[in-house]
Amino acid sequence: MIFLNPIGLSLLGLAPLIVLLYLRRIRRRELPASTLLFWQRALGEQRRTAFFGRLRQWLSLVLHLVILLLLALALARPEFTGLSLTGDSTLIVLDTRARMQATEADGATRFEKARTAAKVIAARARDGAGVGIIAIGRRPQVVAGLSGDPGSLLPALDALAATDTGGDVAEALALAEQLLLSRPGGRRIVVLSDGQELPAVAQESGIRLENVSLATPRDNVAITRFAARPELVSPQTAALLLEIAYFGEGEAEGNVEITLDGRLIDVRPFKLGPGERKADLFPSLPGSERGELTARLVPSPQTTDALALDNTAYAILPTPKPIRVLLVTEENWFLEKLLAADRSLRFELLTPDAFQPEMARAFDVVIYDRVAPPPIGSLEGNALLIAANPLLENRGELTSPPVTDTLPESPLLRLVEWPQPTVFTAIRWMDGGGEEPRLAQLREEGWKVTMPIRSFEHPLVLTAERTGQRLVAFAFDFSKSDLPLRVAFPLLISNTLGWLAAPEPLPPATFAAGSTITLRPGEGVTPPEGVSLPPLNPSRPVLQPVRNGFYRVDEAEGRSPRWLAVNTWDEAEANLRLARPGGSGGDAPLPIAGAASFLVQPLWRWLVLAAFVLLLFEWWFFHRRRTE
Amino acid sequence: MEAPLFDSTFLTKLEALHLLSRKIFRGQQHAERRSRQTGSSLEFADYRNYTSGDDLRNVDWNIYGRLNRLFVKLFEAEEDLHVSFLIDCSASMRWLPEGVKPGALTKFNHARRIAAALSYIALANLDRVNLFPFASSLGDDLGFVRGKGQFHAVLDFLKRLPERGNEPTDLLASFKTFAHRLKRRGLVFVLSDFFDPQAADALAFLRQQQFEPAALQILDAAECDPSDDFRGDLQLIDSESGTRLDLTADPALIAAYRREWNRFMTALEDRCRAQAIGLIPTTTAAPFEDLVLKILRDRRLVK
Repeated sequence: MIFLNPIGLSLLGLAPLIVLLYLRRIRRRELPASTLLFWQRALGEQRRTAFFGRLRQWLSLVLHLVILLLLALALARPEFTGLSLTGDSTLIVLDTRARMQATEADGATRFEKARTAAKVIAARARDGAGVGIIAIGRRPQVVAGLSGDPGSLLPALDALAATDTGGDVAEALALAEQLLLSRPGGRRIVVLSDGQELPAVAQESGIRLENVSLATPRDNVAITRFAARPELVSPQTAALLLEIAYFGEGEAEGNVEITLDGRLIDVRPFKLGPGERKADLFPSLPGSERGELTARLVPSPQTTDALALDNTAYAILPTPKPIRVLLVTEENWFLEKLLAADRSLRFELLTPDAFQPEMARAFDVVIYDRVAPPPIGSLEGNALLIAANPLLENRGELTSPPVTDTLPESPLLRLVEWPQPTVFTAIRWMDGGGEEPRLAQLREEGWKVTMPIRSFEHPLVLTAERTGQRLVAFAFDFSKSDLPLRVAFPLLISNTLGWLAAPEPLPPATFAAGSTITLRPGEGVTPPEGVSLPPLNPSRPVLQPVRNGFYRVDEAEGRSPRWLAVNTWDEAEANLRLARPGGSGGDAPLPIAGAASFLVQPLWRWLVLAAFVLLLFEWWFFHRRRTE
Repeated sequence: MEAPLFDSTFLTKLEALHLLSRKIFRGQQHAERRSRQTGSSLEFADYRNYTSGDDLRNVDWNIYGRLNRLFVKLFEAEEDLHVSFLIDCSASMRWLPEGVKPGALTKFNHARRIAAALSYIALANLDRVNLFPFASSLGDDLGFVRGKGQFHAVLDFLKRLPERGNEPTDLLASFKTFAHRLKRRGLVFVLSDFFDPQAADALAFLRQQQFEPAALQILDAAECDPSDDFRGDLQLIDSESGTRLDLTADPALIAAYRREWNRFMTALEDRCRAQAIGLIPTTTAAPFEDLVLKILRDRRLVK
């Protein structure tokens, strides 16, 4: 025990004055009575009480002296030696990672315990013994700079909460080290976490590192993977992968509930042994408007599960945007039926008379069915040309051309088992015999030309691609072949349209909590219910979600919103058995690992409170009976 | 007693009352009371054998005709009643609670008014009245007076009752002197607070001496419930002996006081009931007229 202000003890000099005043005060009030007969008998009955009554007078004096002593001690600002921060610059490195949300055996979370311990230190900050706070998260954050004012530190701690993110303690330690290097005097870093091994700080820095653990190893069952992707054979449906792991010593069992846009779509039981993992596949999930997939673990009451955060996982169901197709034709029964049946398309039909070239801008692909397209210079967008080709001249007709060569690696023929269709007539675009000069010319103009299907040197299907534009030309009219009757026809057309539209790959929709997500200018974000976000910079919006859940991104230019799923996805946060009780490091670590909440307040405040309570007691015990 | 004890209206009311005596007392003059002594009234009392010298008018000739023996009829004689008032003049009767104005009604003044009222009633009924002050011993008495014309002497005596100093009340000693001094027995009104451990014995003594005692216990409200006046650390001074007592009047002590008070009063009541002694407790706060006209009537001491 030390006194930070020993001169305060001089208040004890008032003790003789109190004794003097007290001796004057206890003179009794004289009061005539008609008879003492009953008073004497009453006193006789209360002989024992009367004895204590005499004692009580002196107890009152003792209480007053004790109150004076408490006030003098409070003025002297006593402090336990182990808790004093004399001459130290202390940086509290407080763990706010997801693992700190785990509950301990006493029902309190690790973070609550760590924050209480941090308050014990922060409450003792003063000039010459500053305290700062750094939070461990996905990125270390300086919560409060070194300050000698507990009044600024304690509110900052109160406002702090455990996040859903993972993170690296080494970065926080490096930051703390940098902040302390410029400080004179003793320097100390106190890490309040789960006691796992810390990276060492540089010996030459002279910084004392204390690792205080507020955690014990706990059992936990967690969702470690939850992802959805389009099925290859049917991009409009998705498959879901779910992995559950149990980080415990007993057995875990319960149910997993899968919901899509808030509707329960599947429930499966699980039972896991110590350290066991289990992966489940949920195939053929249909598309939905929002695509919000939620997996929720519901452990049985017998299962110990210390961390509730990782019992819920979020994913977004991939839903490709439909390809906008314009079919310009007089009539093509096969093509119309095919396009109408394909759910990945949104197609419109126009007669050649109604078509205007500028209409192509509103579509991903325009199909010119036996219609002369605009010249290549004014042809806009991607085009599927049937029995037409603006790149090559029509040089006659091929009669019953056999298919002699195919390019299996062509995206048009992906998964297509070429049926060797019968083509009655086709347009001849090349003369044959040697390199076609027009092809060389096209390459010079920037076109990349391939011939996925050929009849000898004559292309039956030709693809051409240059920056921002793709063309596919069929040399034959579908009505002059049996191709529409073949099984491969729908897949061939679907592949063709898919290559032409070249849909942008779906942007990533699942992120780890705490990661940085760069948004497009003008985009805004709506966080999950109950979560607040700092305002975004409209010109360069960057989102750093620290809470799991669905975030809605409202895109600019009136486009439909998209959703992001944020999860912790860090087994280091889920495996609570890695915690190490106790602490390590430092010559004389603060006794705050088991800090009681009353230590949050400096000792002098408790002394003043005790003096006040004693004063009330003294009044009740001594003075009240005068006025009762 | 600067203020008149009673106004004329009140005195008129008192005239209509009759003292009620449960026993018949002997008297030297005819009055409105019956005596055990046979006399010349019309009320038949008993027979006795004829002896020479008896008045022949009292011989019962009917019995002589049947039994051939002479018997004399005895008649009850109506006699006057001796009414004595024993008035406590000790210092405890003059005590007033702290904070009460000096002119307030003390127990002593209350007793004197009651004695005056009852005396008037007795005098109006041709009874003999005497007043005896006492404290640690019996003081000089007025002497028996008779007739309404003597009421002014009663008032003068009451006004001149001496203040007794710091001497403890001794009821038994005073009553012994009283019994010794008084040859004739009769009705005795004792007006006191009875703050004497031997109060019950003293009243029983009067009963044993063939008196018919009636105890009017006059109290102050502050004595019955001391919680308002007695608080904190006190040094109580006994009004009679001057003895000092240090105490801390806390709720527990006040409760103990009440228990002792009730125990004392209950014991006094039980003892009086056992001796057929009327005990009437009253306080100075009770209206005086009500006390005389109602409480005494309820107790069947007057009619």
